[in-house]
Amino acid sequence: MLGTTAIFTLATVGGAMVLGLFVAIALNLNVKGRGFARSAVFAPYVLSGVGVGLVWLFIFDPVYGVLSWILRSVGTSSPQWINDPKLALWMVIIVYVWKNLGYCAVIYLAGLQSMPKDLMEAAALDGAGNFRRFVSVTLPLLSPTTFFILITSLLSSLQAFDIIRIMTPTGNGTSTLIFEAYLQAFSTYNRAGYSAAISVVLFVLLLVVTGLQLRFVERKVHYS
Amino acid sequence: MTAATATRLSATDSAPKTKARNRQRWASSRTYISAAIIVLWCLLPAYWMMVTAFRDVGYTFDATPFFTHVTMDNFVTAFSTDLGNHFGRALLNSLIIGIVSTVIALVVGVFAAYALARLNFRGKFLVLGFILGASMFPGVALVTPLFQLFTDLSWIGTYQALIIPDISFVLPLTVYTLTSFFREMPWELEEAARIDGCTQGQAFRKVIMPLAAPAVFTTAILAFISAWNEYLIASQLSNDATQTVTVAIASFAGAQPHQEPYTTVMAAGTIVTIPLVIMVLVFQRKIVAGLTAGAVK
Repeated sequence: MLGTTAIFTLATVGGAMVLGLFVAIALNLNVKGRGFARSAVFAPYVLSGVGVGLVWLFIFDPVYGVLSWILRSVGTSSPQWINDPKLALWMVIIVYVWKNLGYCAVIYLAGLQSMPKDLMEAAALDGAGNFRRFVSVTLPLLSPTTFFILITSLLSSLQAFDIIRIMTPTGNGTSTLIFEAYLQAFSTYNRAGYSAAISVVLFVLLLVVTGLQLRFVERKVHYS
Repeated sequence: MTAATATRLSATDSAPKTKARNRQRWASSRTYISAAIIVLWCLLPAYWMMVTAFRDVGYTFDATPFFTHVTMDNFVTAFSTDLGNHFGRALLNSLIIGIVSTVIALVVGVFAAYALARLNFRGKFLVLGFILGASMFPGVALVTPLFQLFTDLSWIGTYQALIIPDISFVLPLTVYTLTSFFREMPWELEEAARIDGCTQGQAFRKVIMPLAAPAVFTTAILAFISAWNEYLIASQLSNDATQTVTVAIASFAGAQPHQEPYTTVMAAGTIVTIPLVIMVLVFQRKIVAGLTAGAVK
């Protein structure tokens, strides 16, 4: 249960943050239709988990899904996304990364846009290459943003419920803390006490993360 | 990385100009391509949902990626009470519950946030901590006791059974977002109003509220979205009369028995998500401002 929670949380938070940062960098350029692209990337974040879960379930269906159709047309058969517990966990992770990517991207974008331009130019004049500028200027300047996204994403992925509930109703391989608490209380187990105990553990975990935020948010790194 | 390539300064480029221009063109087209792939990846599931929603139920598993066998039947099925679908009712329920929760949370939230951002009182930090803590409490642990309580009060099947728990997580969100907004307001204006003879209440009504209106509106959008999408509590504490859209979609019956009613579900999903997508397209900037309030500088 804790292992599943750890894999799920690290993979969703890490995946969405890394991809989100790259999307933000791409969206930060002066390209046509940037506003539309930004909205399109952000839209999944506000959609209901139930609707999103159902659509992806239909896409991942090993027999009738679009994904299996695509895989068949390139000559391989679709893996058993739903029945294989390991794959089921990754299926859910993929959907959550898809959903949270936009959130990370727009907040990183806000961070990029409030970044002083002269520092970038100074670094370029000093002969720093693209990669060097990214590592030595962009990333440090974004560290308050990264911290904010990290905390909020940790909190939301520890409480992620809707999509897991819809895509894997029996918790086959996807029993994170919150979903196990749900299964213990409401499915055939009917063990409300055990479920409440899991909830308390989860609550303490969430409080620790929130405490970290309150402790460090006031003295975050500023470069202005 | 592509960002840096495109904004590469000519000062660092020792290569001839044409070569540099070619490289820049390649860099910008690479950016276009990667941006296009990302946008597609984000939109494809929504597109597929709509394709399936408008497709004849007999072709549910047809993988043709365009609109084929277009029909409105799925929408009719979704609203068909004969099949036991209460989708129209559920839409109304979700609207009522969402609006009432949002309005109550905003009224309480504006005053709470004003106090937290503007007034000095003992235990302010503790209050903020408790509000955050309350929003952290896992909903799963609340559902069982709430169910017992609402059964005793015979509230199951009433709106308040869903609105009150909704407020418990919408309110922390509004207080927290509004507090961040209020901290950044120009309070000199309020002081000026006080010097000109306004009472604190008048200054709040006549000076602060008009200034805070955009922030309040943004917070309202965020609050409404989270109430509209709520599933866990609604799935346990509602009945047929008060079921919300999320619950309705998850428990659909299709036109054909013994078959997962994908087309109907996608039709209902389209109706539920399209308003949100439009909202994002129109208010994207405001929503992002709300999410980042107090975060980015």
